[in-house]
Amino acid sequence: MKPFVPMAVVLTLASSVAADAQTRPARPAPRPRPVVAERVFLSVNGVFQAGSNDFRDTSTFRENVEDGSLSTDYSVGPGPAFDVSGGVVVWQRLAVGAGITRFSHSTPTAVSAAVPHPFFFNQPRTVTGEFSGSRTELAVHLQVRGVFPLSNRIQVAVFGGPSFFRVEQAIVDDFDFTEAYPFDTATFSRAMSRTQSESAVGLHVGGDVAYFFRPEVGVGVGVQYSGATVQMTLPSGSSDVKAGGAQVGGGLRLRF
Amino acid sequence: MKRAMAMAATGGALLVSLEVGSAQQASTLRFSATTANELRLWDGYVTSRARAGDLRVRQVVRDPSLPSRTIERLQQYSQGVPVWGAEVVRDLERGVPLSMFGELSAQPDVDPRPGLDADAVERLLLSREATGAVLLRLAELVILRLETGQHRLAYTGVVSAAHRVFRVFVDASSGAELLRYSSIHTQAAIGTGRGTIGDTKKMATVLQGGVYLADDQLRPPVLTTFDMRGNLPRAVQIVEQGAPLFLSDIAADTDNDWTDSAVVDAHAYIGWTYDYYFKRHGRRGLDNLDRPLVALVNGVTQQAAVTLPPELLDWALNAFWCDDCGPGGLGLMYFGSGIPSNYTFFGQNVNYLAGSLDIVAHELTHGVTSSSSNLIYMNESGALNEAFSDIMGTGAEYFFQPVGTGLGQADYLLGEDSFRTPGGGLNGIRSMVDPGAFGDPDHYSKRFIGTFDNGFVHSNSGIVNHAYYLAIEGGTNRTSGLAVQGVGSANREQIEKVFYRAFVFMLPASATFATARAATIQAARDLYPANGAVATAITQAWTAVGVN
Repeated sequence: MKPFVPMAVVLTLASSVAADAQTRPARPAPRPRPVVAERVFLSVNGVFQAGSNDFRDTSTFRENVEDGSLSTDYSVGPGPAFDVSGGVVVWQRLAVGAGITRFSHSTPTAVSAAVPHPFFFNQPRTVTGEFSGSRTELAVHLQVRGVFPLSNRIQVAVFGGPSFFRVEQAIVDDFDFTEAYPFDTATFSRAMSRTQSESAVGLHVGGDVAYFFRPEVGVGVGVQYSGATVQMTLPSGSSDVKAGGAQVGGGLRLRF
Repeated sequence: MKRAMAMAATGGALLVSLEVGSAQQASTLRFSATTANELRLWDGYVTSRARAGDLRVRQVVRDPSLPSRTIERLQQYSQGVPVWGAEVVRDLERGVPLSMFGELSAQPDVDPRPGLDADAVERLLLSREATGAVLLRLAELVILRLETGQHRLAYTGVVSAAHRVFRVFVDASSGAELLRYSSIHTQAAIGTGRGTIGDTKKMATVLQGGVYLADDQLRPPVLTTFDMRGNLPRAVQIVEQGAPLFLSDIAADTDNDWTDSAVVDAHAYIGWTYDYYFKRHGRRGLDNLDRPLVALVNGVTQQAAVTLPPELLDWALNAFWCDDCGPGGLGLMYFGSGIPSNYTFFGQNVNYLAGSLDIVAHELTHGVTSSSSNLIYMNESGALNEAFSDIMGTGAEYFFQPVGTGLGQADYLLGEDSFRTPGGGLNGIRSMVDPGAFGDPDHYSKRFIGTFDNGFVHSNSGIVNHAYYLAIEGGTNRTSGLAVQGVGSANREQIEKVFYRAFVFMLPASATFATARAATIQAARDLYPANGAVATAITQAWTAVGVN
């Protein structure tokens, strides 16, 4: 056997390395990465839905052997909403869950009509009035959530998924007016409405930052966009009406 | 003040509502009983009230669709006087009630002794209606529940007057009217119609018995157009001898899309004229009290007109207002139908006279004059009478129609939509711009004097008409050469109001042209600045036509 390096040298080097290892100061142990220890989480939020989902409808009607028109401007403005969501971590930082958002708001509706004159063609009377209706949106969200603990106390989450909207809207179908001879003017007396409920599938995406002042209890703030387009049957026919919007809010965070 | 109370009984199935008037403690008791418990309760109640004489069987009938059933209607009485509308309906099968519905007045606290007797009330009812009113139902004593919840002892009767039928209630002591409602079950409707010049108009009509009638239910006065259907003898009888008009005489249409242009134009244009007076002058119809507006059309067909003897030609070729004509001296307007288009009369085709708004407004204005200044229909006052009708007729045209010289447009010609000159000549029968174009005088010095046409009332009106025109549009009188600074067409309303005020409120019945000059100048000063443009225009206009 003709070794290239003498065996004694190898052994010497080996013992030297071992001795060196024993004498140098130890490296600091790597800090343990925060882990998602709790598997179930729950959020309860008061939120504010920003933006508006105003819509307008113009229809025609027959009165005094002539076509009249009815225009309704629905003002669906921003307002408070209530949001609850929860889920379970299914793998490392990935969770699945569900949420529900309820938004209810009055929808002041401007009613404007051109009512044909009983005696003359092309001399409509303008009738204007107000109707106070309401809009209720109930959205059920199925979500996939990424949970990223920044520390044991602070946790960031992003989420998204499909949303199932149920929208109830007061729709003005008709109106009453008063008139008297010579019928050159007419006065709005009341709007006749119905409540229409329609469903649609939309989506939602959002993010959340939570601070846990106890291991299982914390507070958080979040932002979410959830939206859908529902088809409403308006006096003029079927029409797309938007629901949802950007929501910001905060509330209680629980994890178990 | 009313208060409402709901009381549940028999397991909540039975609701009794009481509306109690706090002042009189009067109340209404409503019930409906359809279940065994309800029926037992209310049948006992009704039976006890019937035994006491408070409920009396008014009617017993059988329902043909349920032959075993008998329907009883029990009328409520209080101290021997029926309570209007208060009754119980009991549906029985072999004497056993199956359903009951009631609306009763509880304890009407009314003295049953009337202060007036029935004869006096009947006279009272008739005296308050138009001439010719009749009582279709004699006065009967009832207890009437007012909307306030109070009860009053009242007489009620059904009165027919001016083509309307009303049930009227009057206080049994004071005779004051408490309530009235139409006994004719009608529904106001709006239809369309094609006029003489082919235009489409709206028609205010009424649906009655499945047929639309030319009876305007929307304007305040009675406004009815009667269709004589070419029956001239009957038209003559109605107009000249006061023969009665019947419901069947009212112009009718099955689908409310009217095609008889004479009916369409007469009915619509009378309504427009009423509107013109109301909107422009604040006047409510002929007498400012919404006197009925009755029009007759189609007295003779166009085809039949060509065979009429001369003395009857007016029934085809003219329109007129007669203040004392018609049944009961009602007063009415008549519009001739003209002649076939292949015939001419003095070189003109003559279409339905109701087809000209100015003719309709002209005739209606005669009714206004009759109810106001009542200008004597001869000589100068007669010419003023005619001129005022032309002026208001023209005013109505400009109020509703676009300015122009075509059909259905506003101008200073009279009757131009009905009297057409073949080959593009001058249409109409009179001109305010140039009365001489039709042989009428445009200056006082050219006035006709004589007995023809009541002293040439239809010709000498040209002098006044021309003054009216000059006061608005300005210009120079062809005879005098004097110029007038008019107020301008944009201010025509001012001149219309001046003439309206002067002719309706200021002129005596025998006014002369000079009186009319003074009255219109004064009216201009009353309505507008004393020495302003309006008074100046009026003054200059009269001077230009030689009336000083």
